[in-house]
Amino acid sequence: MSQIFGWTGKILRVDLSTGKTSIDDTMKYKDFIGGEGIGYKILWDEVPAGTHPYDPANKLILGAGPLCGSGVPCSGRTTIVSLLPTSPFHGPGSSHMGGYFSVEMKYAGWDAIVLEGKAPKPVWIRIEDNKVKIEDARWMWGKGIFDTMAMISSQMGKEAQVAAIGPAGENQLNMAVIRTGTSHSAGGHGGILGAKNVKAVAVKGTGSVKIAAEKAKVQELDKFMMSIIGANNQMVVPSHPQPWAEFNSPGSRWTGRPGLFWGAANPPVETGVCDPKDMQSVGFRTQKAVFDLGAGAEKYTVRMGGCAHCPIRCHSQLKVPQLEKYGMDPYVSNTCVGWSGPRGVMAAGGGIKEFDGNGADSSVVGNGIGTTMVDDLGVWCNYGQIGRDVKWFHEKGVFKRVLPAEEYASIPWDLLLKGDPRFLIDFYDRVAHKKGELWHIADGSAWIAQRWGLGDDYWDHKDNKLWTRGGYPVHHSNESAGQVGALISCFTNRDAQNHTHQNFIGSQLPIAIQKEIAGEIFGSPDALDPPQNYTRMNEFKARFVKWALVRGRLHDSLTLCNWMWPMAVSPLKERKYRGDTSLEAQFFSAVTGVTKTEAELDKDAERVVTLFRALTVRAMGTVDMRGKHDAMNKWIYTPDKKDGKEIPQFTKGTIQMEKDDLDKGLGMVYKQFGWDEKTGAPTKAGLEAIGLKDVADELGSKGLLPA
Amino acid sequence: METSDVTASDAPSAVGTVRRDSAAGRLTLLSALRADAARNASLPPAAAEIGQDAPSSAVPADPLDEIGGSGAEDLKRMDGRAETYFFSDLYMTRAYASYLYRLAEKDLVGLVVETVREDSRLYPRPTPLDFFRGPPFTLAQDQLDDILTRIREREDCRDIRECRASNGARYLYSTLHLTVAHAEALTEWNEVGQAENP
Amino acid sequence: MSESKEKEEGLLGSTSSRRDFLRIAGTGIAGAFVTLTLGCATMVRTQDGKNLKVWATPSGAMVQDPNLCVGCRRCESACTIRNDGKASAYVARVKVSRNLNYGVEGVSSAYALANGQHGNFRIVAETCRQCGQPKCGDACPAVAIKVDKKTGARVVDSRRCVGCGACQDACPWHIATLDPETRISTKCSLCDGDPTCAKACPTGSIKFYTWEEAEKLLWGADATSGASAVSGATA
Repeated sequence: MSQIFGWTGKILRVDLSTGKTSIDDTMKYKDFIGGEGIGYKILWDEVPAGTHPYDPANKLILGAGPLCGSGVPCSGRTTIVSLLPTSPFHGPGSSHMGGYFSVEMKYAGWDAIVLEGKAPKPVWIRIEDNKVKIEDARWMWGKGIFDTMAMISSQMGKEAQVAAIGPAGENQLNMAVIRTGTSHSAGGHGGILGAKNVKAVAVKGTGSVKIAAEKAKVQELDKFMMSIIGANNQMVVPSHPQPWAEFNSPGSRWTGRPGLFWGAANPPVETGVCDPKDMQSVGFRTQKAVFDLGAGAEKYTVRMGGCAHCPIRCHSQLKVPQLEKYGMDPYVSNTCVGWSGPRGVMAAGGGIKEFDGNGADSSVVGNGIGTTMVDDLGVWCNYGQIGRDVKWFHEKGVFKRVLPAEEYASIPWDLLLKGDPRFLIDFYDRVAHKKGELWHIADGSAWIAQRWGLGDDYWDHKDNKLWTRGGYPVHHSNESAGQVGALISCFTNRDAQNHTHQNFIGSQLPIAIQKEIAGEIFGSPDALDPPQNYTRMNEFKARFVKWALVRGRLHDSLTLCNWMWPMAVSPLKERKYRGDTSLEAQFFSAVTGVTKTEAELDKDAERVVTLFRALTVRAMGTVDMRGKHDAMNKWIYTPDKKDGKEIPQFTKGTIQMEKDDLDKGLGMVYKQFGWDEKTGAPTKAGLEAIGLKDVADELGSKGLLPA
Repeated sequence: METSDVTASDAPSAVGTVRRDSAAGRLTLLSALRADAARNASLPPAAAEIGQDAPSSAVPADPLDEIGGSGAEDLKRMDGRAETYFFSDLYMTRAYASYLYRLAEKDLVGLVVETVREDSRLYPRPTPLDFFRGPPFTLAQDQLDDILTRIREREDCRDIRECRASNGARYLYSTLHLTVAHAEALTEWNEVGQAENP
Repeated sequence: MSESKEKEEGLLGSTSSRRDFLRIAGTGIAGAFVTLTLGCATMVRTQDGKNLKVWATPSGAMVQDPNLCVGCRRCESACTIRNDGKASAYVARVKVSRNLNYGVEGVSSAYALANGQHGNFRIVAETCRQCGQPKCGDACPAVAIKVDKKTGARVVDSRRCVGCGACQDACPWHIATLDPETRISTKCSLCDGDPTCAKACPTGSIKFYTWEEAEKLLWGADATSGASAVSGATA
C-alpha cells in the first residue's frame, strides 16, 4: 500500500456482541471524505431501513476526517453518525463534539471507530494505539460523566481522551449526549451507547497524522489562515471600537479589549487590544464568558478553553466558589447552548432570579448549577427545546394533565416560579433517571406530541420554534438571512447545526460589504438580504443554501469546525474583508497529497449531502420529501400582527416567511442539487451523476425513485 | 505590531510621536507636539557633547513644518475649535480617530448623533445606549441623559429616535436610514433574540 | 567564541552548570582535567576518578506560563510539523497533551480541584529545560545528544541515535521522547533559534527565555535541588 497522508487509513470496528474487533480500510470510503461522509456510507451499506436506533443492528460511528489531527486550525471536532432516536422515523443524523477525542483517535491510528451489536454487560472500550480491549464497566455504570472519565484515566493514564455517557445515556434517553473533555457534548446519540451497553470509549495515541506537502507549505497556509480568522463564529469586527478597527458591533463575539479580563486567572489576564495582526493575541479575542453570561461573569473567568488545534477559544472556564454550597465543584465550563439550554428551563418560570443569598451573582451561579447537572448526567437540550417545552407544558397545563397528581405535586414548581435554579437539580435528576412521567419530555418533541396528545397549537406556536413535524427546532433559520436559513433547516433530521451562512452574516460587517462578498461567491449580491429586510426568493439564495449545506457536510467530514469555517470573510481591511473560500481545498490538498480544487472538494461533499438525502428517503419509505419531510410548521409563514393588523411579509422589520415563496425556494434548492423538483427526492440520473449508482439501484428496487 | 517601534523610532520626532500615540490608541495634540519641541530646543546636552556652545534660547522647529515636510502620508490632521489633532492611519482607523476627536472636542451630542446615523446607515443597526458607556467613550448615565435631552431639543437631530427592547434596553436609531418598524425589530433581535439563538 | 572559552564558561560561567556540576562531582572539581572533547560537551575526569561530561551553557530555554495557556496544543502540532514533517502530540518537544486533563500529577480523588481541564483548568506544560548537566545526554550510550553550536540546545543527532530510549528514561521529566514510528529520539532543539511553538501560541503563553531567566522560572530559587523544580512557573 502506498503511503497515506491525512487519513490514517484504518477504521476500527468493534463488534460488541461477540467482543471481536477488526480493521477496515478507510480508503475505500475516500469518495465520502471522512467523518460524517464515512458514517453515512456505513449506515447506507450496513444498517437496514426500519432499524430501531436502540436495536443492536444499528451502528454508531465516531468519525474524524483527514484534516483532523493535522494541526489545521479549528480541526478538533468529532462527528458521530447513527440513527436519531428523537426522529419520528428514526432518520439518520450526526452529532458533533469538539475537544480532543478525535485527534487522539487519529494519533492512535484510527480514522473512525464503528460500534456494532450490543455488549452482554456494561463495557468500556480501551484503545491504546493498535491495542483494543473491551473492559468491564459495571463498576462505573450509573456514575456521572466526570467521575467516569477520572476512573478510566486512572486505569489508562492521564493522557487518555474519553468519550462517555452519563445516566441519561445509560437509561436510553432519546435526548442524551456523548460527552468528551470538560464540556464538549454531542447531542442525540447518548442513548445508543447506552443501548449497546457502552459506557465510554477511551483512546490514547502515540502516532501521528502524516502530511504530504513540504512543511513550508502547510506552515504558510497556517500563517495565512491565522491572518484571516475572526473570533468565534468568524465574527471579524470587535464588540467595542478599537484603534485598529474600522467597524464594530456590540453583538460581536470578538469581545477582547483593553480593560476586559480573565478575572479569576492568577494574576488576572487582560484580553487587550487583540489586533488581528498580532498572532499571539488570537486566543484572547473571544472572551466568551461575558458574551454568554453577562458582564458579571468576567471576575469568575479563569481562562478560555476549547478544542485541539483551534486558536479561537470559545468555551468559558469559570471558578464559581458558590457552587460548592450545592455540593458541586467550583470549576465549571461551557459555551453557547451548554449554558443556555439549562438556563432555558428556568426561563419557563421567568428566568433565574436572585436566590439563596447569591445576590447579583445569582445568574452566574445558576448557570453553573444547570450546566454541571446536564454535563454530569449527560442530558441533551435539543438546542434549547427542553426549556421551551417546559414553558409550554407548564403554562398550558399539559404537565397537570399528563403527570399523575402525586408526581405533579412532588415537583418543586415554586422554585421554578421563584427563579431559583435549584429547581434544575431536581428536574434533571428526574429526567436523567427516568423518574415518573416527567422524563418523557426528553423523548423529543415528535414523540412527546404523540404521547401527551399535543396538537397543532404546539407545533404552530411561534415561540416553540419547532421547524418541522420532525420534532427539531430552529438553529439559525429564517432569522439568519431569511429564506437561506429557513431552507437550510429543512434538509436535516435534527436542528440544522449549520453555521456556514451564520458565520457569513454573523461577521457583523456592514451589509454593503457582505453583499459584495455574497455577489462574488453566489453570482449576485441579491443572494443576501439586509437583516430583517427580506426580499423574495431568488436563484442566488438557492445557491447560497446549497453552498451552506455542502460546506456543512464538508466540514463535518474533514473534520473542521463549522462554527468557524468557512473563511468567507476576514478582519483585514487590506483584503477588503475578504477571506478565502478555497482554503479547505488548499489544506486538504496539502495535507493529503490528493490535489483537489475548491469545486472538486465541494462535489465530494455534495455526494455526502445527497447520500444523506437518500438515507432519509429510505428511512421514511417515501419520495415525497417536499410533503412529508421538508414541510415547515405554519408559524414560519404566518404573518406577525401588530395592533391587530397583519405585518405583510417582505416589509422591513418582519422575518416571517411566505408559504408560496418557501415552496418555490424548496424547488429551487432541489434543482441546485439535481433532485426532482416536485418531490425533492434524488433522481436516478442525479444519483448516478454524483457517483451513487448503488444507491440509485437500491432506491429503485424499493420504488423510492421519483417518477 | 513588532514593526511599529522600528518605524516610529526611525521617523523624525513629531511624526514618530504621532505614530506612537496612534499605536497606543491616542490622538496627538499639536499643542503637545509644540511643547515637546520647545522642551527639546532648550535642552543643552546634545550641543555640549559636540563641543559647540548651546544657544541659551533656541527657536524650536514648528512640528507642523516637520510633519508637512516629512512626506508621511499616513499622518492625518483634524482641526478642532481650538486644537489641532493628528493620527497615523497606519495605527488608527479614521473611524476610531473620529470617535476620539469628538470626545476631545467635548462634542458629545455630535458623537452620539453621528455614531447613531452611521450605524443605522452602514450595518444597518440601531445603537444601544450602553455602547457609549463602554470604552472608548465611558460616558456616565447622567451624561447620556443630558445628551439625549439636548438631542431632543435640536432641530437638526429630529431623525434620532429612541426605542426599547422587551428587556428594557434602550437603543437609538436614525429615521434617515431605518424605518420605525425595522428599527424596533432589529432592536429586539439584537438585544433579546440573538441571545436566545446562539 | 573559541571552544576552550566556551568550555570554560560552560563549566564555571553559568550558575546552573556550575551548580549541577558541583552536585554531581562533589568536591572533586578542583582536580578535574579534560580528557575528551565531544562536540560542545567536554569529558572530564575528577580527582576521585569519575568521568563526567561538562556541557556548554545553552542560550536559553522555552518556558510556558500556565496562567495564559489555553490548551489548544497548536504548539505541539507546529513543533512536529517543523521537526518531523507530521502532526503528533506524543513526540512534540513541548508537552501539553499529557497534562491537559489532570495536570502533571495525574488523576487523584481530588481531581476536580487539582490541575487540569477536569480540575481547576490550569494547564501546566512541560518543556525541555536544556539542563546545564543534561541527564538525557549523559545517559546516551551513542553520544547522539550534542550541543547545538548556535543555540546551545541539547539536540539529538538522528544519525547517531540508536533508539534505545535511555534519554527518555533518564530525563527526570521524560521530555526526550522516542518516536515510536521512527525509533529515533526527539527533543527540543530550540528550532535553530526561532522556536516554532512560541510562534504558534495564540496567547503568548510559551516563550523563549535567556538561560538566566529560564533557570529562575524553571528551578526557582533553590536551584541545586531538582526536587524543588516547578515546571512552567508563572512568567
